[in-house]
Formats: sequence, structure tokens, C-alpha cells
Amino acid sequence: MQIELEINGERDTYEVAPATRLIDLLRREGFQEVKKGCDEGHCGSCTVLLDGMPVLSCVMFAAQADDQSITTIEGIGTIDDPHILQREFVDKGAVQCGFCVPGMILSAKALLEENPSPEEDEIKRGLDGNYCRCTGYVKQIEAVQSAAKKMRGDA
Amino acid sequence: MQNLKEFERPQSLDEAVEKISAKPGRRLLAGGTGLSITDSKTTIGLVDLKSVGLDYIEDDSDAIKIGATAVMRALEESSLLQNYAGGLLADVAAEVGTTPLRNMITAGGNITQLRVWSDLPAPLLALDAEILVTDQEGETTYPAQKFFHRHPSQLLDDTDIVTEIQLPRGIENYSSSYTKFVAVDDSYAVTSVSVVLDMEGDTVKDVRIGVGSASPSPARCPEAEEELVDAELNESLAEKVGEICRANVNTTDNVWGSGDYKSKLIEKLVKKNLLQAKTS
Amino acid sequence: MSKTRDFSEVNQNVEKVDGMALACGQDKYVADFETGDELHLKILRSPHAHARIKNIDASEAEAMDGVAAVLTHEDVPRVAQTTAGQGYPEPSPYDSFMLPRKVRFVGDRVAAVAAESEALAEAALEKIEVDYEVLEPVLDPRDSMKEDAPVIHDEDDCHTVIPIPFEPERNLASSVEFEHGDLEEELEKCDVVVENEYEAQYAHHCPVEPHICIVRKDPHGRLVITTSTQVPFHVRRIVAERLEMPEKKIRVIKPRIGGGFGGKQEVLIEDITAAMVLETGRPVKFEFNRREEFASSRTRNHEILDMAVGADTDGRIQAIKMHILMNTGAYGSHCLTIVCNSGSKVLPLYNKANAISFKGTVVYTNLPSGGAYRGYGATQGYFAIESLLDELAEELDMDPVELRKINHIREGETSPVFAALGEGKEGVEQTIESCGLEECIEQGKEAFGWDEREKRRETGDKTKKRGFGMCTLMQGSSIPEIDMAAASIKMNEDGSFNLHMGATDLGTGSDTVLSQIAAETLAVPTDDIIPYSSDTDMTPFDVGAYASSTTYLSGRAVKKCASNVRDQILERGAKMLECDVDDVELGYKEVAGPDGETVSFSEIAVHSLYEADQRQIAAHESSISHKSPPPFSAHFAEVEVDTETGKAEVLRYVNATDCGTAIHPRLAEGQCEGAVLNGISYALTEEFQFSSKGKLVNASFDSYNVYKMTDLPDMETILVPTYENTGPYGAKSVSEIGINGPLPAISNAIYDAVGVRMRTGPFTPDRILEALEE
Repeated sequence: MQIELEINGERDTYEVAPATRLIDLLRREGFQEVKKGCDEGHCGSCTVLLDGMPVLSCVMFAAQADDQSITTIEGIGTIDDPHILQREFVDKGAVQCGFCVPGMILSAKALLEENPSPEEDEIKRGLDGNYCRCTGYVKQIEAVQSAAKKMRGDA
Repeated sequence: MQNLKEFERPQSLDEAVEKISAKPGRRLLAGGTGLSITDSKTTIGLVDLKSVGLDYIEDDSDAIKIGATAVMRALEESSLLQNYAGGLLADVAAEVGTTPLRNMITAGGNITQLRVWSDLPAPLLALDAEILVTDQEGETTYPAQKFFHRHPSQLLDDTDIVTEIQLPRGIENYSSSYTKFVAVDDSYAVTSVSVVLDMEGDTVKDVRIGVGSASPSPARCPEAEEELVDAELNESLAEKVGEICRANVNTTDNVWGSGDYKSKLIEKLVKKNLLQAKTS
Repeated sequence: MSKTRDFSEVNQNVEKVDGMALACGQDKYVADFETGDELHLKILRSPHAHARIKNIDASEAEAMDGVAAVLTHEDVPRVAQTTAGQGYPEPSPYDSFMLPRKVRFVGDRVAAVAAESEALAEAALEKIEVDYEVLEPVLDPRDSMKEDAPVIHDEDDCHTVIPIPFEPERNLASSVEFEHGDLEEELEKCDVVVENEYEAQYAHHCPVEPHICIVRKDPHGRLVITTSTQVPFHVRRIVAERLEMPEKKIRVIKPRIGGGFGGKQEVLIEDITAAMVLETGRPVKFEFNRREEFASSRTRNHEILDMAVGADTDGRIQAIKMHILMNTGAYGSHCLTIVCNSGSKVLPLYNKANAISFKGTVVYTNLPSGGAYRGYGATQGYFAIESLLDELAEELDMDPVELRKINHIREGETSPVFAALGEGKEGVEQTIESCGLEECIEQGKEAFGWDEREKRRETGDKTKKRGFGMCTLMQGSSIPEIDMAAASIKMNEDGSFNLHMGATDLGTGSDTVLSQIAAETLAVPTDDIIPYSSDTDMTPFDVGAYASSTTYLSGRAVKKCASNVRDQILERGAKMLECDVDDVELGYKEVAGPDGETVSFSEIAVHSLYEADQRQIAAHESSISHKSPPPFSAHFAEVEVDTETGKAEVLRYVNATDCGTAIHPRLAEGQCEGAVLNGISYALTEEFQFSSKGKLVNASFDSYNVYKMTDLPDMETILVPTYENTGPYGAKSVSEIGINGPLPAISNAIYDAVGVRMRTGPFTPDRILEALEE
């Protein structure tokens, strides 16, 4: 079957089997920044934004996303022109192995768009779907706080 | 899903009824968080309910109506639900899964599959909700008690579509309290307790206690509710009622907790939530 | 000894070399090397805990469309091996096979399928018919050595390659003993003796990226193994042995990897995948699903520790007994060294005891195999000793902090344990040259508010009780006289340097830290170092990322190598400035002559590459450590226990850690924080639940609970600087030590809160409630 998706701003038609999950379509089409961690809806490595909202691409069929927009980490910044969140994650030491980071930054982006001044508890809740076994989360919370501040223009 | 060949996208409920009834081996798809990782050889087609217009939460004169494909986040943020019976369902929805999952998990999926992660059924029991089901013959309304008496799959045919949850009028101003007891934040409930309460002074006028995840089906505890009605709710009564619930609610072992531990939890959580509902 | 120095590149928070590429999703992990032409490998796993394979019929699976090959034990070489990625010859029994004839735990390998898709491979697994002779399993380590216990390794080709205790006929995987003084005599003399048994449970590493490899043949017929491993060189050696092929036919590449924590210090996927490439001639990908990750990889070893500590009335520890029964599960990977570490990384902390009795008995069971996991035995050992010391402090009516202060090892001191307990053999004597533990205790106490803790005890809710616990810790830095690391550096004409190292960055940041060490030595910004690591064709040897060794051991190799290159640069600079090498100085990216004239690194490189006496300025150097200098740490936990539900919640956790010079302070803090949170999660929720038949029933994140961001307590990390003379720029290790504290600190805090001693982990609500009811 064919579906139409707008991925990182580019609209295209994709051929998928009904059983194809969104993660498998995305990775097949070269969006390998979408990571497969637990592959069962718990770890959040595969988080993408669907019409701006974080979802887990490993527990949905690709066809469910038909006619919607998808944002992966590539859609929010590049190495030469990173998003403030990407910059802050690096500067604050929030990136260790980095496997969880694309998903986590996308969750953070959705959070900050809705709530530009989150309290620490709100950050924790907004990022509760993203496991990280390396960092202990301390630096990641700090990175989101700092990015929020910069995005608000307070710093 | 190795034999899955079709993906139907009906644009109306009627069309969905038609599609699901057209062939054996078709299954309804709501959020997909369970189905997309289910290994089923018999499923040959999916009927996606996304576009049939069931993602509403609306106020109606007879009831508050929650469409089957409304997601947890919508429930959580609904001012209607936040202001209904102490915001019980909004509170419950806020604790389902994680942020991305709350954008995906639907009310209908959560109650129809009735698995260990289904947090809505027990509070729906406590709210005396009704569940609307549509098939080719028309619409049937089930009281939550009946819908959750056994696993809904025993009540429903493969072609039945759960379309709506209705919350009754008359209890909007009741207070409530809810505890989902978990080992870590996004884990599945070891046990959950919902209390819905109506008081006049210190006296209980009406009360409902729903217990979830303690056994495969959610439970009310009528013995405890009877004990409370017309009585003065204080700590010692709450404690006694906790004990009554412990004695009367069936619990079973699973990896999230032993039946024995769940029984102890029920006692303490019923007491705690009764007292919290009283003061909230 | 001065504790802080002026550095320009080390001890600085430079940008992590792969940080931005990772944050932008651009750097590649193994799965990202998939090109679409790979076959997908799946393993048929044993449904039985203990069974002999009588017959396998794979004909139906082989005949399926899209199935390229099926391998059973009849098709592959039978080479007894260990999966442990350790220095060769390994002190682990050679007791496992690529495909065994006898399965020893639920989840053991039975057969392998390669097919055009994962779904096809899975469907093919269902078509393989296996006739098992089901045997009685051993599911409790206490039963393993009983007279009538079934023998788990009864095949006569299991063996050891160095003389270590190994008696498979009585399910003894290995053992170790060490006696210093006379325990009974000393205990007799003690004023206070406390004794108890502790049990540390099975747990899993839970890397977010599972084990995964892609193996392909290059145009020359060599196998290129791209794999998520901590030990690329051990992978090359073990795969070569397993496949009975020369090492020169194998290249192992480790790209970015998504966490390891010891779980990827094992060769669990590469051998069978390589065999499948040889069988089919096609590239093959093998990725564990999450169930396999939990049930069929490796685990924290389950240990039962029989403990005693005796002291005089002043609290001076006179005698320590630590007798361990360790459950290694089905295979003995790392088993001897882990049990040794339960003693060797723990007992020296209290070095003034007159008598120490240490015994480790490692038994096989038909449960998942233990193996390397951050902390590596020390986690279990510290749970026991640091909880028991809390019991001792109570008996003595003494502040637990004071008890540690009068007993812990100090600079200039040694312990007989260092020389006695090594890695499967005797250890290496050492004197502590840097110890910041006193400072860790003081700063940790201060930050935690230990002396003011009584003011925080009141919760305002009679069902919630608050308590406070602490512990002290040490670990090591590398395995002395065994582990080796090497690095090579060459200079480029723009004055930058390629740094090639065998060291393995598993997300820890070692590529960054080692680049900083090179940059500091060469007087260039870290940005001028181009690191490349962990490629057996391109980089020199390194044992790999384990034993808290990379910063210390690989860092020494890098520093030595960079010093060599620096000397060559100075020499070339002197030649260009026409003066004596003794008269030139290294400046920032330049060499300065006696009268202030300078030549830049770029000029020096161009000169040596193009102009005169042409040669590549380059070096390679190796390092072997002669010591394993311990980092030290003090941990403090504030815990609230709900007496109605039994749930313990950590409200605040402080760790103050001496890792010598922190080469990259933020990354070092991150190591502490990650280790501590993993430890808290282990202490409170993580465990394996087995069915009565030995099947792991919580092999998913839905029921194996790990701490997430929302579970994070208020956490503070304090780095306490010391300067370890034998380490690169004063550095010691930091990666493992933090995981050892939470079990005892939290257990002690729970006792302080509600008066029950939790001696078996994890301290789940139901266990705490049960203890409260007793």
C-alpha cells in the first residue's frame, strides 16, 4: 500500500506493507537516526514527533502515520547548525553513548514547545519515556533547563 | 503479523462496521501500541479507527462521552474530565504509560484489551460508567460491571466495535482519590485503587471502590461500600473497610506482585484513598 | 603532593569528540551499517533448563523459501571455549560451545537460522524439530554441590587453559581461598563480633542498544565483523579459535556503541554470525531481541555471602570473614575473577585487620550465566561488608562514619589482600599512593548534612519513616601485570595528529579523554587530535574496556606515545631553529628556540614530510600497569519508607569520589551519576524472576523494572581531586566504583528508618513489608 508522509519537511510517497511498523519504514528509508532499542515500546530510543507530538515508532504501524508529519532528530538541527537542545546536551555532558539522545531531545523539544519554562518535575515527566542507562539523567535535566532558558532568551 | 495483507481506513463508523464485518481475520486497530507488536498468524487485515471520528470527549445532557479513540493525553488534559468526580479519570490517564505512549494509547484500546496495563477499567467500574458497542445489528450499551465481569473478549464478537465510554450524570461533584502502586514510575500497576465518594458532613452518602490489576479483572467491593454508606467516615472505619476489601477482593500472582502482597496493598490503599477522597 | 595542577586540556570540560554527531543522530552504531543485503540470523533457544539434544531435524526449515541456511551442532566446529573477553589465557573454564549438544539453561543456543528477513528466520525456527532428553535441572546454587545433584558439565572436553580449580563433576566451576592470620583466634579475642548472611541478586546490564553485529566478507575473503563490543581484540581471537581459522582472516570494527556495562565484554553473537557467513557466503546481521538480551546474554552474578566482622570496643576492626557461594549459572564466564574481585576490591579497604578469611566457591546451576557487569563482584562484596559494618557500628553504639574513619586504608599503606588475590592467580603487591577517602567522607558528610540528619527525620506522616545510611568504597584501575594497552600517533602537515588506539569507547567518552591526554602532552587543543579506536586492522592492541582500565591504562599508553612524538617534534624543531634540542621548549602548537624564535607544528610537519631528512613523525607505545590504584568514594543516602506499603524511596543521594585527576570532570561526574542510579535501581527493584522450571519470566522492560528520569532522587556528585603519580596526569578510574554503594547505603538507611535489616536484594516493597511484619 502507499502512504504519504512529510518527513522533516519533505513530503513523499512511500510503499509499505500493512504490517510494516513506522520504525522499520523510517530506518529502511535512511532515517537511521531513529534508534531501535527495546523494540517493544518501553525504552523510547525510537521516539519521533508525529504532528509535533512524541510517539514511539516501534509500536505503531507505518500506515497509521499516513498523511501526517514526522520529525526525526535530523529535522531539528545539524552538526553545523544544531538546535539549542543539541548544543546544550553536548555542552552539559548529557551525551554518553548517545543511543537514547535523539529520542530524548525530541521529547524535550515537544515539552519546551508546550511549556517553555518547565519545572524540574515537569522535565522529568516530559522525558519519562526515554530510558538512559549511562548518565543517571542528572546532566540531561540540566541540559533541558539550560536550553529552555536560552530558548526563552533569558541567557 | 506474517499474514497481514490489508489495511483498511474507514472514514465513518458505518464504514468501519462494514469493513470489520466483511471478512474473517480482520481486526480493529486503535492506538496500535499492543497490536503492532503482537505476533498473530490469523490476522489478515486491520481496520484503522483513526478517521471514524471517535476521538472526542464531550459533554452531553445525559452523560460525559469519551470516544473510543481519544488518547490518554486528551483524557488527562480534558477540563470536562478534570472537573468530573474529582478529576478521577484525568488523574488515571495521566499515569498511564509514558509521555509518548499517552499520545498513542486510546481509551477504547485500554479497556477492550483488558491486560495488566489497563488502568481505566477499575475507575470506570467505580464511576458506574457505560460502554457502548456497535455492530451490524446496531448499538448495545453495557454497564461497566457487565463489560468487565470477565475479559471483554468473551462478551464481544470480533466484529463488535467499542465506540464510547459514558460517564453518568449525578456524580460530577463527588470527590475521588486514586493510587496506582508501581515499583518504578512507568511500570505496570501492582494494584490500583480508585475511590469515588459523596459525603454529607462526615457521613458517607455514596461511595464506590474500584480495584485494578490485583487479578485479571477489575473489581468493586460492594461489601465495603455497604459498610460505608450512612456511616461516619473516620480513620478507624477506613481501616476496617480496608480490611473488608482485603478479605473480599480476589488477588492473583503475577510478575508485578504476589497475590498476598496485593491483598495487603488493597487494605492500605483503600484506607488511604478513602481518607484522601474525604478531604479532597 | 599537590592535588591540583595547571592543565590546559586535561581536567577540562572540552567538547566530547563524538558529542555533536551523536546529538544530531549522525554517528553510526552497528545497525546503521546495515545495507539491506544482509541475511538475518535468529537462534533457536532451549525451552528446557537442562536437556541433551538427541536429534535435530531442520529439513523443513531449510526447505523454506527465503531461508539460506540452518546450523546445528552437527554443522559447526566443536571447540570448547569461554565467551569471556579477558586477557589470554583466560582464567575462565572453557565450558561453552558455538552450538552445544547439551543445553544448560532456558535460552541456551540450540540452532541458528539465516533468512532473508527476521520474520522469515523466526518462522523457520518454529519448523525445527528437536528431540530433547530432558534432565533434572539444578536451580538453586545451594543444591549444586549436593551428592545427588545432576552434573551440568558432564562432557569431557570442558577444560581450563591455566591451572585454576575446576571440578565440573561436582558442579564446581572454580574456587579461591585466602587466609591471613587466624580468623577464629582473632574473632575470639574481639570485644564485638557481628555475623550474617547477605545475598546479592541476579541483574541485567540493560544497555539500550542490544548486542548486535554485522559480519561480511571483504573482496579478499576476510571476515569483517562490525560489532557492539567492549573487547574487539578478544572478539577476533575467540572467533578465530571457534571457527578454527587464522586471525589474519578476521577484522573486527567497533563503531559507536549504545552502552555495555560489562555485558559486551563477552563474545555472544560474533562467532555464530561469522559461521553463518562462511556457510552462506552472504553478509549476516544478528541482533538480540530484548528477551535474548535479558535471558541469553550475561548477568550480575548471584552471590550468597557468609560474613563476620570482629572489632575491639574502640571499633578497630580485627577480623573479617567473607565466604562466598557464587552462582555462575550455566557457564563459568569470568566466574573466578568475579568472585576474586568480591574480595580483592573490598577487603583491602579495611587493611588493619589481623585476620582475614576469604573463600569463594563458584557453582554451576541451570540458570542464566553470570559474567562481567560494572562493579564485577565488588558490588556484591560491598553490599555485605558495608551493611555488616553498619551492624557493627550499632553494636558499638558508634557513628557509622566514625567507624569507617578509624579503619579505612590510607596513603602509604598496603593490604595483604593485594598480593594474595589477583585475577585467577596471585595478585600484585601495592602501596596506596593517592587516597582521598578522608576528604570524600568529609565533603560528602557536609553536602549531605549527615551531622544534621536528625532534623530531617520527622516526615509529618506517621506511616512514612525516614532514615539515613552511608558506606565507603574503593575499586581498582586496571588489572596489574596482565592488561596491556597500546596507542599510536602520527603527525599531519597541518599540525594535527591522528591518534589510533585499541581502547574501546563504549559511550563512556574514552575517545575524548584519551584525546585530551594526547593534546595535553603535545600542547595542542584537543580539537587537533583525531581519534580512531577499536579496529583490529587499523589500531594497535588493547585488551578492551573493562576493569576500570581505560583512562588509567590506555591513558598511560597514549601519554607515553604522545611524549615520544613530542620528543620527535622538539628534535625537528631544534634542527629547524638550528640549535640544540636541550635549548628548545614546547609551546602551544609550536617549538620555541632560546632567542624567542619559533616554528609552528605545521611548519615542523611540512619540514619533516617534504623538505629535509624526510620522515613521518609518529610513534607507537604500549603500557602495562604494575599497580591498580584504587579510586575511593563515600556514599550517603536518605530514604523514606512507607510502612503501609513497604515502598522505600530514595530522597537524596550524595557520592563524593576520588578518581585522582578527573580528565574530563563532566564525563567523570556522569560516570558517577550513571553508576549510582544503576546501583539504586539494582538495590530497590532489579531482579530476575524464575519460574519453577528455571525460565526467566520477566525478560522485558515491562516487568524488569529500571529507574527512569521520573524515579531519579536528588543526586549530588562531588569529585575530590587527588593526584595519582602512576596515572596519566594523576588520573585513576571512575566508571565502576559508583555502582557499589547504593545496596549497602540504602539497606543501612532502611534500617535506620524502620529497624529492619534488608540482607537480600532487591529491597522491594513486598520484601520490606514482610520484614516489617516479622
